[in-house]
Amino acid sequence: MKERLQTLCAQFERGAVWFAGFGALIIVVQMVWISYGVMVRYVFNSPDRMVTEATALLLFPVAFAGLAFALKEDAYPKVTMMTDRLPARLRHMVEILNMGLMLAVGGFFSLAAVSATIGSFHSGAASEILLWPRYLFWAPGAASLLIFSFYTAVRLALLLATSPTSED
Amino acid sequence: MEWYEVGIGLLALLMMFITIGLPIPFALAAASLPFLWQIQDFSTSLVSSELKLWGVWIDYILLAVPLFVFLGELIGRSNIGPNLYQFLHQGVRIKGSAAYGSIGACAGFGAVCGSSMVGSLTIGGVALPEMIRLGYGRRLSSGVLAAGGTLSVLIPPSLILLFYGIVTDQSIGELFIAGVVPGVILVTFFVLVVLVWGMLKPGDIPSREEAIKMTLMEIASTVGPILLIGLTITVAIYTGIATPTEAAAVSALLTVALAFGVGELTRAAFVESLLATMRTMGYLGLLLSAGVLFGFVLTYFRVPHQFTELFLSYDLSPYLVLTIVLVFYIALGMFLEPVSMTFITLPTIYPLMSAAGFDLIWFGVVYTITMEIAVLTPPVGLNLYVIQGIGRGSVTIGDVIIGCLPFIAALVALIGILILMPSTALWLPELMS
Repeated sequence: MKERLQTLCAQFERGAVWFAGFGALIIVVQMVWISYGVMVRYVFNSPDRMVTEATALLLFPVAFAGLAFALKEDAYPKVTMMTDRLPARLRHMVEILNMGLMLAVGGFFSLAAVSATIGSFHSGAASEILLWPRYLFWAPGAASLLIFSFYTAVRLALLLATSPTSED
Repeated sequence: MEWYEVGIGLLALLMMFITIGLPIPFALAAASLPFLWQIQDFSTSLVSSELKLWGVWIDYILLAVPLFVFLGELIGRSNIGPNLYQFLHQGVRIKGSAAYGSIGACAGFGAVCGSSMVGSLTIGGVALPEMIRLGYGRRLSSGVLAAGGTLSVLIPPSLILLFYGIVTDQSIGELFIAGVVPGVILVTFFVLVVLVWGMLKPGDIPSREEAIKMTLMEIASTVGPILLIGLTITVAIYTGIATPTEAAAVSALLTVALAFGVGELTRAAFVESLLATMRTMGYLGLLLSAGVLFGFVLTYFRVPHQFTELFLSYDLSPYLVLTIVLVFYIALGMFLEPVSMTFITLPTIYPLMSAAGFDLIWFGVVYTITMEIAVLTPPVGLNLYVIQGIGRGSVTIGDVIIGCLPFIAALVALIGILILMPSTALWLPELMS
């Protein structure tokens, strides 16, 4: 059971890296596009009318693409002064509680993002100037939040399957 | 529910979650959600969250964040930062050049990178072993590098000023420009600290340092990139040629070219920089989203407004209010890191500062300096641990903390100057407008 969970966890971690890679690619596109926009505005005196809204819309997937990757890399800031002093068993229980809370928060945001993706797909909601469909930007955000939530669930299951003594 | 019940309840829940080690973005969201469900049923709260998420992240100004983070990561992984330190250390032959060089390199790094920790890590990684090898005192070496990193937070571009501008709805360009003069004063103060330290403890600064003379070409290749990137950002924003986001994009692209061209950046390091940016964005993505929910709950119950009214009803002098706020931030900074503090506390504090009659651009600079103190104060002083980690056993955390004390005094002195002469921060933005 534990080995299967570890395999699943490793698969989600690979997925987390791919999602982060996708977000990174968007950052490169934004950097080049905005720089191009500045250049054509001053050099060719012909402003790019798409750049501002398009790159701002692209920020939405970037904001969530690194969520699971940050968890994998333990990049979320936390204060562990108190929990470090706890006995192993109690610390393990607190870790389970924390992972459960992270799953609950991730799950809530995932639900909101999935609901927004479906809602914007059916309503045909679009951006203000370019009229790009909103669901195109909600969908990658929702996918990132879902992978984060599933990854957290697997990590929680792993914690539940691990005894505090075997961790030490 | 009364506003004070919500305020106290939110704060208690948040503190409880933070104390049990729940990562701060999740603690912020987990504390807000029960109160959100007091106002709305579950399905309405989902719709509210959708609207809030879309509203906060479709923001062209916010786009500057990943671009500046990426720029800092590129500099950190290329030789541009270390090269600047080598020039300021070897190219300038004076007693204590390695210490002054560290301050200069941190300031130069600060002009292209907005993160204090990346500043300490990049320059400290090269300078700390070198200073200890040359015979500098351990406390001086670690103190100057931990404090030097904080220059990145004040000298534009600054991520803290950027987030401050987003939360308080102030002009990012004006905030960046307001940080320039205080940043220069702080560099001068840090140099004075080293000078006085050398007088009081001559044994901490070696009388002679072996230094290889650099050729003009070498000097140009070490100073040139930082100068070019720093000027691109500052001049573009100052003259209004580009918005902060555009300046971030152009300077990031320029940094990619320079890092590959003269900074010996490898393809693997480039990919690492991108992934490190996404790692930071992962945490910021959730922090900002949770911060918006937190802000929504606070605003719905009129907590900032009522808190401000209550505070003002005591008829305290504005400077007493400011002192209380600064002491609060310095105390809180011992336990929380600056970005989280910004999203947790500022929505409530900035209306109070505005009502007390303080200019919010000026307060942004003062606030940023308190954040610099926060990263230098234990037990959660990020820069202290960065320098101790780089030292690999050669410096203790006690050395770093004691070494930082005179530099913290310099930061407090700078706050004093800003209170006595607000124009120190406001002169350049006024000139710009």
